[in-house]
Amino acid sequence: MPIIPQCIITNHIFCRLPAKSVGRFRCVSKEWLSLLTEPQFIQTHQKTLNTNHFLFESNDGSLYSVPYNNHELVSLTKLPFKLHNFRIDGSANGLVLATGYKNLNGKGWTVLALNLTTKDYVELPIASRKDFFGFKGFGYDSVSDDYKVVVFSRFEHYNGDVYVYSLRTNTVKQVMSRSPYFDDRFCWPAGVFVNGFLHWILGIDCKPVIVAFSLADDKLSELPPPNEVDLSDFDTKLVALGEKLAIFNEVKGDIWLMNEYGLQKSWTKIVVDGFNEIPMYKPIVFYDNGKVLFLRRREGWNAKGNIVLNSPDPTVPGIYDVEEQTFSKTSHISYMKMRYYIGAYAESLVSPKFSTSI
Amino acid sequence: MSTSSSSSKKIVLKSADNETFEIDEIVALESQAIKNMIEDECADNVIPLGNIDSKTLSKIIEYCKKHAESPKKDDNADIDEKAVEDLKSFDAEFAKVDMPLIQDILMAANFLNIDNLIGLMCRTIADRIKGKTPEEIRKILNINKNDLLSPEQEAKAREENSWAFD
Repeated sequence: MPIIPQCIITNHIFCRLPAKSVGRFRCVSKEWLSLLTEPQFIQTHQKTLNTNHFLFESNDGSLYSVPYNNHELVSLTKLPFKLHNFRIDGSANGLVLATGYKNLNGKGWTVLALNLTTKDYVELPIASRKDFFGFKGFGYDSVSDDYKVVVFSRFEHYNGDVYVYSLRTNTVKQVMSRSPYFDDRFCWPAGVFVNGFLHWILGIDCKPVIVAFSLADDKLSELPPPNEVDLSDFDTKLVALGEKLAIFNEVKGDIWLMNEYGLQKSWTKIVVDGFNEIPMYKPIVFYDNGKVLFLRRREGWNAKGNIVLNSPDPTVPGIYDVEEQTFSKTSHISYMKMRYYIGAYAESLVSPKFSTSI
Repeated sequence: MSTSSSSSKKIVLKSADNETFEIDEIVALESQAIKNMIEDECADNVIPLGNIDSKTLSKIIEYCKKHAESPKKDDNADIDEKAVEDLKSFDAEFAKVDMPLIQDILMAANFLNIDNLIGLMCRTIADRIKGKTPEEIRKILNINKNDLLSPEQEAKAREENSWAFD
């Protein structure tokens, strides 16, 4: 039997395997266990595999994960989490910042850094902090190899203060007091992670701007939007498309992509022909292997945008491919009657646990 | 020096078991390694491939012929979709061989530096092993017995990765 060079096995074979296969193959041999747990491999694996999953909540409150692969929605996995009002406040490299209540009665508020693939999680001590009551963001700082939670506090006398929690050091620091930026839309948006920065559309003196928070040096700055975009339109929101920041108007269907980070003249409009003919309400836009796709959303929302729980027309997660102008088949999962779309995350082996051993 | 015109220039490859294969130069150029040899003018009329047997080499030539004939992506922006489909189904058929041969082809493709073929073989291996259990993997890939985890180590690894065994 020939010996295949190690770098080929690692970079071309192991990196293409679904996370679950990797998990199982860690038990094959000593060599495989060591190769498949290396931090470098884990990072490359997530980027090479490049598989996104959608997270839905069903009518009974269970969470379901739907992998999105090769332009087809395949199987569903019921996740063993049961948090009430489960919400994702950002994701990076396959880790998500999840919040929710452990108990039905609105008690047991918790904040988790969670890998939805490996079900590995840490409960963050910030859940009990009043100053962390506010809108958040979650991202990866490659300079210090650390995951960070950023919060704009909305609690009483902390209002406007900005705090950063580091997963690696398990510490909190205040990076700004009385920031001039406020969430004028009152929707507590989750920060959008791109290029080492977290982004929000926030208001300064009632004027909306794109705010960028650098995870490497804790500095706030503003990014210039394209001249043609009106950020005060509540239908505009920030999204990450691939590795790029984009502004998406979820009613008009306009997408503006910032091709070169920080450069105003690099904003490019992606024209979506026939967007109005696609039957969907406030779709989710995402990126898959060079293509822009819409996750069609007709969940229990009425025309005014209010949630209708017993809608006769439950979520129909159809995928519309802009390039090919086609919907993917999703009939086999429509029986799910999934109530909410919660968010998307990347399949990954990244652990939220930093070694605490001395 | 060859006297034939460049369009039909021939290259001869010799396998480890001394079988010779005469192929068009354009086919041989699919291999970056051979291309380099030809460009550096260190290729004689016959290129000996002492670590590739004839069975593997004939498969490799079959692959290179097909790919050399097919229009390249950068030739033309609106490339013929039928040609792309055709090449895809060729690749799928080509990969329907047993695991030892796949590994031999991968080794040879790596030696000859044929990127597409390395990719195809790796995808094939990944597809074939991804649903397997650790026990099956040990058998398929002939894992060295000395490298096995001790029962305690294996139990620990299984527990830490229990999410992968649902």
